Amino acid sequence: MKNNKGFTLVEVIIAIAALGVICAVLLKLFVLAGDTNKHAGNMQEAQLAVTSVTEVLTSEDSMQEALDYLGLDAKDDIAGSYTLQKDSFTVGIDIMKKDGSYPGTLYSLDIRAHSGGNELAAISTARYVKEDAS
Amino acid sequence: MHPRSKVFAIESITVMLVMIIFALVTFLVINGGSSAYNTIIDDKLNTENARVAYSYINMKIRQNDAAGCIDVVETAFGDTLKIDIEDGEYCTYIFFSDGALYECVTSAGMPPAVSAANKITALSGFSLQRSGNLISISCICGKDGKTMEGTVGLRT
Repeated sequence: MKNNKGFTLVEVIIAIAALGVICAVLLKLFVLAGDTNKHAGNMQEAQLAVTSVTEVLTSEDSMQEALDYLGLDAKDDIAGSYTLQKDSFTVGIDIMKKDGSYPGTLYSLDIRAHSGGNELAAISTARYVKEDAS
Repeated sequence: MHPRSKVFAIESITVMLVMIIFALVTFLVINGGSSAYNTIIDDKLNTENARVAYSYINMKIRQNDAAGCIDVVETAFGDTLKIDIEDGEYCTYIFFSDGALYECVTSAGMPPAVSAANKITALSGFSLQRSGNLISISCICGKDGKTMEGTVGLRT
């Protein structure tokens, strides 16, 4: 008479292989959760960095002083592209002079944080400097 | 030993080995998952605390940004944010002590004290620096010393 009690080795191996696949998916999810958390942290840090750079560029008495505070070498007429390297991302600063008949200078500021081609945070604003101290 | 019994014994041992490997892998997956979960939660909590501290100071500066009312001073607790309110009749001090950020409201001329202060949030470290009309805030969070740094500009 055939013995029908218990599982055969093949059945056990198939069951464990199926569970192995589920475990692999779970492990992948843990890694994904960690990556998502890291990305969220980076984005928060980038937003803070962009806000801080904007604060400096709009609060200092002159654009020259603001760029000095940020540790950047100011170009002759201030306008141009600047880069600030942070630990996990780069902050790009584009300063342009706006045309118009003002007694001072109107600058357009475009501040963007990016990492590996992905933009993490961005602020576009303008700053009017009465007498260009640069 | 009977050949049939020998095959049965080998099969049993193999099944037991496979089950042991399965138990080990299951243990490792559960342990890894728990560890990943705890790391993520700790990291989020630390970042959240640093963010709360930074936002609170930022809000306080914005609320009280009148000429000469905000300054960074050195007290017994190190770098302290001093905010004069009601024409200098009272002072609000924001300082770091024993793993937490505190806010203390005192009469003018009185030094801040932890016993009279309200706890804002837990932090690992904190520093303030004033340069002209810019105040740099550094909030250190977590055991790995991750720092959240920001700058606030005074409008007055």
